[in-house]
Amino acid sequence: MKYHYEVFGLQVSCSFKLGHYPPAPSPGAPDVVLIKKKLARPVDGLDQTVYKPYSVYNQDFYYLEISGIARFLIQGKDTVYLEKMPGAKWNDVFAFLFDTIFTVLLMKNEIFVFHASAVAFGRKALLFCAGGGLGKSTLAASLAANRGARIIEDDRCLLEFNKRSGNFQVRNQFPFIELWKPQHGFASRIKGVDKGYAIRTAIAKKRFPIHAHVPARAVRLDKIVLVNMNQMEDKIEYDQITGIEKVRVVKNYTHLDHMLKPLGKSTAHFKHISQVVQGVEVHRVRKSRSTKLPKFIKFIEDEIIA
Amino acid sequence: MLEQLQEKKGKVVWMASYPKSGNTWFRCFLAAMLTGKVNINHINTDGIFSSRHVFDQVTDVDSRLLTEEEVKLRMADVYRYHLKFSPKMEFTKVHDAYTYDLDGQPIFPTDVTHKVIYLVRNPLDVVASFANHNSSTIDQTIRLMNKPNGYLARQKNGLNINNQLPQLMFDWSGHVRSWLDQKNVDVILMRYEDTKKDPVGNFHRALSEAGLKVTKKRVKEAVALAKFDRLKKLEEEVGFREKNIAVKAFFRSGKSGGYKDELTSDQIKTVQKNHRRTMKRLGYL
Repeated sequence: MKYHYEVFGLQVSCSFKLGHYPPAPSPGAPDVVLIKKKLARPVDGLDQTVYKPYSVYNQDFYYLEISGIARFLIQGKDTVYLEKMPGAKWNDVFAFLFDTIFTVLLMKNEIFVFHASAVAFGRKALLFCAGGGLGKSTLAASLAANRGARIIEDDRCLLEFNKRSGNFQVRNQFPFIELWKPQHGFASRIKGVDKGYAIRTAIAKKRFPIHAHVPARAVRLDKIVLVNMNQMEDKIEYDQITGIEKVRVVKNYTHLDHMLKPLGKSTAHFKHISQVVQGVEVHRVRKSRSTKLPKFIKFIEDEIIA
Repeated sequence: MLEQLQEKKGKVVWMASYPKSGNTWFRCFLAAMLTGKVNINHINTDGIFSSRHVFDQVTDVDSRLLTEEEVKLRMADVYRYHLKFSPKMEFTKVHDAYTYDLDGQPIFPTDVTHKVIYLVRNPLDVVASFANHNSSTIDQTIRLMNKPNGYLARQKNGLNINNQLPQLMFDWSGHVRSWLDQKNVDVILMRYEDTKKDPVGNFHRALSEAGLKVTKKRVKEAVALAKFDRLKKLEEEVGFREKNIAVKAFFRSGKSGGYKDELTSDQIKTVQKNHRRTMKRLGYL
């Protein structure tokens, strides 16, 4: 294999370039190989298999078809086959490869992806968990542009256990920040963020390389902040969650969590979340759609960071 | 009624309307029929067609990575699959116009559609209510309702992160025509004004035409639970999560003909000129 990358902590080898993705500085033995291959939807009638309109999966494989763009097949924990459709652009293929395919691949390896951005204040990391559209990336970008924080991740986040310190930690494992058009201005105000490029044709979201910005080392996870929406007029609600409730709430922020059960990963996931929340504070903040970003950031600073 | 819905599982009734035309009222009525109570923040009907959550769960793909046309090409399959797992026939709210994908197929899957209940309201009353809902002026709303490519939940500058997918509605007349003129699925037409005058008779008719046998007594009880004044009072007491944050209340006046106090004669003439043919067709002129 000619090309080597580190994607979400996995050593990836392939015979083709992954677009703008930076090559691994010191490639190790591959965890995953990407192979080009003609693919077809798996046959009907397999046992214990989920058949959806565009995907088929069980505990052995995961197949996904993005019409007009690509077909993907994950076999076991370490092999991804992909077929680019005629006329499709590689960038479009990579958009789905880095999202659904890598999330499933990690899940098969019992590594779970949080819907979260992570920022470092010195040696402490804050994880902002939120669903799409609640401003995870904007919050991280704004804290980096205006408050001297360092972005570690901006949309999807993995947590690693450090056996030596006995803590969970966060390090950058996807070296980009992804911003929608109205937020592109943040990128030029954050030190170490490079020029961006469109994630996909006709999607107004850009991917900006941040490998020169992110902390070089892993940072200890200090707090988890869950961001939700309320229906109050410009009112921020806040509480701290304790006990077993932390597990129940935090586990809902796992990307593609509906696939945990069919892939046989529910128990491993529950165990992982239980360990993650054990040593950290979990804060819950509910903001209104009309709450302005500076007000929200000040609240986060006063109530949580301080 | 639940047993009858269970017998028809795998199918859906689309509750289609231009916004502010009585869809929420109908959903509250249905919730009352099914459960004997109305909790406005947990109306037990079956969500909205444009739910990003349903789409993402069925496709395993983050819909924010797809173009609007790519989403449309998948909608029919998404609902065919989604309905396979529902224990009963669903009643799903829709604000989209009846449109087609790039392959020329309707975005609403014909094979799993049981009926469409199309709720329509005099556009003169819709204007005032929709203006309040969007926190915009009457004139802005008149223009929006006359836009051939009018959308709901479509964000500016290509931003696409709303929890509802963008919904192409056309202009008000285009929305009505798209549903009433298509020949693929049966439509039960409900005029808001008729329902206001005779709620028991009209709600009963809608359910009967949808093949559901219910007694008038039961309908009457549900109508009482979903009475406008009661919904308005509930909103005042506990709030309503579907309300636009920028406005005071979702349940405003609910009146028919209230436009006479809220629109100027020029504004009335503009709406009538913009939608003359469709208003005539529906008996509003």
